[in-house]
Amino acid sequence: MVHPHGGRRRVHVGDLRPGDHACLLFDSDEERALLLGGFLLGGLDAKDKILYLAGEGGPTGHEALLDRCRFPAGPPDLSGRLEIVGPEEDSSGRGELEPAALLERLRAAADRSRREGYRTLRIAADLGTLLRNGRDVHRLLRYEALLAAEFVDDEALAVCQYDLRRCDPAALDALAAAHPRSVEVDPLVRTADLVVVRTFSPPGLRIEGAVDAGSHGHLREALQSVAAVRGDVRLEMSRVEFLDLGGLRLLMTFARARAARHYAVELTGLLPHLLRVITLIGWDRTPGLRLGAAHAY
Amino acid sequence: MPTDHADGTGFVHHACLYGSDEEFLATALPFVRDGLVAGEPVLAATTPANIELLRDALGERAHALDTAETAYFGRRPVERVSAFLRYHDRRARPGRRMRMLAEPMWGGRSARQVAEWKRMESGLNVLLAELPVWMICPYDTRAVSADVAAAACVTHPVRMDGERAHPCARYTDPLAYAAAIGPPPDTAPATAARMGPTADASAVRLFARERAAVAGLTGERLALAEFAVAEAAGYLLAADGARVALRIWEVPGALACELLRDDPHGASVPAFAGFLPPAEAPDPEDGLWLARTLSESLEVCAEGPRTRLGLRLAGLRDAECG
Repeated sequence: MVHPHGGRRRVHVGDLRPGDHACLLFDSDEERALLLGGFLLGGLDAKDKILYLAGEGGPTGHEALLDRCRFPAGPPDLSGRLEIVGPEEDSSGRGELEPAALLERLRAAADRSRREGYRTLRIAADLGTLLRNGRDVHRLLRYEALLAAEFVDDEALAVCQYDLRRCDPAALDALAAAHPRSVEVDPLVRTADLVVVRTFSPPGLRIEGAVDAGSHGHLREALQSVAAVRGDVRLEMSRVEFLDLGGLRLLMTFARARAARHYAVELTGLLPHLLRVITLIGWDRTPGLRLGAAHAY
Repeated sequence: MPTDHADGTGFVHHACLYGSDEEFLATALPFVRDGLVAGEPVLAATTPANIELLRDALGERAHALDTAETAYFGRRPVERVSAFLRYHDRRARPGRRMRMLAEPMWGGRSARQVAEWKRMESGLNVLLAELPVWMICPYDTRAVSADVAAAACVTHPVRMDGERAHPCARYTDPLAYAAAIGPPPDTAPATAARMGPTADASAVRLFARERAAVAGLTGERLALAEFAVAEAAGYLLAADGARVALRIWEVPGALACELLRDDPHGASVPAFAGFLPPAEAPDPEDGLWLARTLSESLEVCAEGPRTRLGLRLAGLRDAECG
């Protein structure tokens, strides 16, 4: 199985900086939409030029790309800022990816964006759809290697998207290894003490840091954001340093509400003392609650 | 057996001082048998020897009797209250009273523990007041001290002698009793680590964690010590304008903590706060219950306009919960 993040350092899409070369291994259209939306908005904020390398079946124009991002507040105005390169331009006449030619094209685009006064060239690539055989994998790996070498001068940043549902696991492992970082959506909560990130496979949240009386509101809102998920929800807790009784109660209330819709909430990576407290109170019998494996200190 | 006590809907709390197996059975057997005949849930939380006496005397009816070896039915007062409530919640039937024979263990306890158990016996009159439970607490005068036997008549409004009920003339209001009984929590020595007063709950928690780590606690025990102090401090800080000071020091086998609050206007900590486990709806005392449950002991002391909470947390040398 390919792990979406593996041993790579995670970066939130809003934290991408010039020089970053990160992969997105996804198997949820919702995750891709949120991430791509964050990527485009981040480019607007940072005054970057955006280049979208579309693969087979990818968006052919601005409108199609913005539709794919499902902006809740309506699509931003990207006119003049966004260039979309279709699959016929990524590859040779025979439909094969030409790494060197593509790199040349990116270099020219980077030069152009700099001359136009943009901070950097922000590349989103969806080239996994071009993979048909082992030779394609080899070419794509060559392209990724060239791209990685290109980033030493901080003139570009790139997110390479690979759909776990469409790519061969062995090829994905190799492609993922070509990226020093993996990108994920921006946190729902980010304070000095608490970070909560939406996760997608399976759907849920990853909670990191400390939850106390001062952050119950944040946790409640984060839980609310996955309240409409159809199906079970997983809360990944292995990086929770402290979770008070009030915070635990919020999780139990959430599980009960999910149980009313015949869905479960799984808590994974709980520290043993939290498991013990949950059991002490009898909350281990909360309807809808599933307690996954505990996490060592 | 007179039924005037058995027909009410609230908590009925009787003591029974017995000096022989016969005296024990003279009260316990009709109490238990009448309950079983009436189809009431009946629990006997007493010594294994007394459970055997009861079973032998009940014959076939013994199959319907719920039993618990009393030493393991709540090791400490807060756990004892939780055990009673768990039993009640599991066995309660609408419109029906239940009976509990609940004999506390006194042998081998320290003076501090004896005071805590006496305080709890008195506190049950308040804590369980709404429950449809008839509880008789047997005290074995062959085993308990005269002081403990005398306290039974102060902490129970009625004493059973065989099947006859006698009001206890020395029965004392639980709040007044709790305030008067027992040694106050230890005060911090000059060498204790100190922080605050502060309104910052996470600063109190992190200081406690740091000191517990310095005392050698690690892993789960460290996390539980941090949790206990955090919840106790959180309870005190929930009052508007409250600030707490924390003192921590090591004593043999335990980490002692003192939380001090100059009570904001109108805020005070009831003596029996935090004895009831969390229910479905949140309660401000839930955190204090958890702090009590995770501590070896937690004492509340009102000192004029100031509240002092004394906690003892299992230390590095406590081999029991390792």
